[in-house]
Amino acid sequence: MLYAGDFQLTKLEAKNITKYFQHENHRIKALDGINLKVEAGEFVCIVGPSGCGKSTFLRIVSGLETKEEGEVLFDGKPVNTTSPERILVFQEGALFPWLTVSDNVEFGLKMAGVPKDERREISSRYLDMMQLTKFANSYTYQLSTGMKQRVAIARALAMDPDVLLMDEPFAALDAQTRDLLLVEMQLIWERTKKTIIFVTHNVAEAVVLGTKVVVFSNRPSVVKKEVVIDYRRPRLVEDQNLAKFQQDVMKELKPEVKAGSKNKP
Amino acid sequence: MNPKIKFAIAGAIIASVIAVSLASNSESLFSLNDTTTTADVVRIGYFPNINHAQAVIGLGNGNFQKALGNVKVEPQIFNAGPSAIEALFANQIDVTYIGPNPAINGYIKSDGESLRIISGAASGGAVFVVRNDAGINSVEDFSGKKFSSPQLGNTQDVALRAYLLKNGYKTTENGGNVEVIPVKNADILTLMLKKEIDGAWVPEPWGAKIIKEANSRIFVDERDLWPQGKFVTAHIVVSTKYLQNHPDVIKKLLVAHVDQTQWINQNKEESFKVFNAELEKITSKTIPEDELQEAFSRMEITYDPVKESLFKSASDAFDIGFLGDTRPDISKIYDLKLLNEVLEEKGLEQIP
Amino acid sequence: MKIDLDDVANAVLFFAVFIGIWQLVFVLGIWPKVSLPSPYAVAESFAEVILNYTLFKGIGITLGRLVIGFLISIALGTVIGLAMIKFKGFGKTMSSFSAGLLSFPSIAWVPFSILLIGFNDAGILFVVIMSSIFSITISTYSSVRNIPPIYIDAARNMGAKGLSLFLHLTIPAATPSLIIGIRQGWSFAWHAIIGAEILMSIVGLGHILSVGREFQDMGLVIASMITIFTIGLLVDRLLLFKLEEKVRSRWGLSSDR
Repeated sequence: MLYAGDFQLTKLEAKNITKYFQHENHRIKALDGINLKVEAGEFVCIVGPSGCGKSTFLRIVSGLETKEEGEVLFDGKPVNTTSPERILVFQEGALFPWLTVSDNVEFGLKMAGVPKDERREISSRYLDMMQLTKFANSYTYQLSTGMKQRVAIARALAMDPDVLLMDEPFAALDAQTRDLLLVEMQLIWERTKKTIIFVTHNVAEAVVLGTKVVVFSNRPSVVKKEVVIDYRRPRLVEDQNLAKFQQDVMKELKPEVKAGSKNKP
Repeated sequence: MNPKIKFAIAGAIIASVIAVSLASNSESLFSLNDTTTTADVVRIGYFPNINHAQAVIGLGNGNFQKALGNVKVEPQIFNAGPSAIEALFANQIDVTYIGPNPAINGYIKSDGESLRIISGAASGGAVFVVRNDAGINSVEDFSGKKFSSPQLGNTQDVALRAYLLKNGYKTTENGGNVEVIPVKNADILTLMLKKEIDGAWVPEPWGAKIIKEANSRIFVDERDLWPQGKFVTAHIVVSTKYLQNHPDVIKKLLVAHVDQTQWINQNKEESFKVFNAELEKITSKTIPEDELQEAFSRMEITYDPVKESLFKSASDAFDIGFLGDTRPDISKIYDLKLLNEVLEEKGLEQIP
Repeated sequence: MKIDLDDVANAVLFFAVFIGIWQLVFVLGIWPKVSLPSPYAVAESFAEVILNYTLFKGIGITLGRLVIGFLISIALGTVIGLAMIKFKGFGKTMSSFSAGLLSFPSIAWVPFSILLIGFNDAGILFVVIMSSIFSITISTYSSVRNIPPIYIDAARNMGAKGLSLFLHLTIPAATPSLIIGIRQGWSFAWHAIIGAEILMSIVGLGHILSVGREFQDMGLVIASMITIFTIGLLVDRLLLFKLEEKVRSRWGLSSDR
């Protein structure tokens, strides 16, 4: 929504998000007042030490998880439930094994009541974008992990969400596939102009993809630093010029990782 | 092994089986089951019923064992005729008290070889009862009704079906409108109480019980259907082999049986009490005195096998369709030689 | 349907050898003729009940009752299973109760059914339903509970809720596991119908078996047993097994990939 006088559109804002977990018989504070603004069309990467709650934060933004305090504002309005406007791409893809690849991509469209022909047309388009047209009628067990992730992305994109939330989607891939997808991801972002929040533990990945990299602190997490990545596109992971940005991020991240390892039970 | 060879072998085996079957007409070439039955044991079957009273009393209180001396008596209790016949065939018992129709079935199934009837045990004691509120006032009122008998093919079942046939009714299996549901006697009482059946042809003491507890009355006393009111409801059957090998043991048993029969008939009141005492030992239940009285009033404990009633019953069973395609010949089913010897020695009238 | 000639040859040979041994045992007279009839006698009994239509009528009646009873089990069992998920307290209690009644012998229901329902078709259906319904409740309950939460999250995220979530997520996701429960329920129902027919029916396959016994007609007894075995086998192999394989292969769980 455009507000008069705004030069930029804040698509998503997390205000003071606080989350507790029950572990054995004590409460653990995972998120301690996360504040984050994401403008429309930004590609925001979130990094942080293991167990710091990045995924939990993403699930809260998507509405799949509750929060103890704070609010999530979407286009300025608070949201509490899950919605197809904020589609989450899971780490393991979560494709449905009983459906073909194209039926999987069409699932959300079917839920939205889109008629069959139109669904087919949309899913073909996105499968084509992900170079998976040949596998439209395959079942998911026949695909490699990389291909499954591409289907998951196609499924998310087919819904044309305002915001794409991606939870370590490339963590389970081999290096070559991942490098290819890093390039593809940037192309998709350029073409679709989506707002993307991308969680990863891989700093190189974050720096390649993100317009900015947000560093979460160790648990109980706050936003420690936002590092703007001002570099031309498309970025290749082997580009040495990115090293400087990586170091900036690592400078913030390393102490958190060290502190975190002391906390572990 | 190549599939074609397998098919060929299979074909050869089946062909030879068929050839052997057709040639020998399923006679067994020799029987390994020719175990000589020993003379120091006699295994006797019986039911905990009032028409096996001689056995219930005599086996229970040791009279039979006394009469048999050194031969060990091993009693075995059954609840139904077919099981007793199965046991006889399987050489698990040597002699048994049993109802008429299971004996006929067994005789026919074994082509007249495996068993003989050697004495009567009870006559009478079967009634066709109907519920008072079943709307049955005459033989005209049977259409659409449901009746029970204690077991498919048993004596009362045959009597019921023969009665229906005689009066022009067909059962539902034959396209008619009278349903015959064979169930255990205890279930018959339940079904009468629940009004799910309209009547039943039952042996005593179930007749007395149902009349007392299920608001029913006698529609037909089966004695009225037979000459002199006599028809066999229990008798003694022995395996032919045992009879051939140990006639002496069987004769002693028959002595005990005849003596017990006499005693019961001469000591009615006391026999009720003794019967109940023995019954309780076996089944932990007794029959109420009034039911016993009433039941016994319609039956007779005897050693007369009432041969003619058995032949008639077999003929009825054939007409109903129970005994196969050819009218069976059971003329040799009786072997009363030993019984008559015993009766003669006691100065009693023999059975012709 | 691919038919492997080798498999057929094996089955035929197995069958022939079985008959051959049977005939030999009979000829040697190891059991009395009345206790173990010859294969020929059994074939005669078969011919008799086929020619007088008794066998077909019996099969029809038995299968008819079975199908009705089993469908009711599936319908009620599924509803109860889903209620167990929705109402957690009920779910826990019912779970133990179902587990106990799961392997309750079907024949043991007969006396209760005769008294409660009656000596009729409804009584028989009662026995069939009580014997099979708990397979369905338990399998529904556990199948739905075991759906990976991530599938539910993904579906809800994409806008599925209420009935559409149930139809398009819950049921397909639970299906492989549900089919296993259905197969088990079917075999329990099959046991139950035959037992119930022996004890409380005057028609049907179980009854034919019982008639054989009443009249010492071992040929008929064995012919009935063979019929019962064959039908149980055919339904399982041709229907349920194939269904299960189809689902499993789609999911990539099949053993020959």
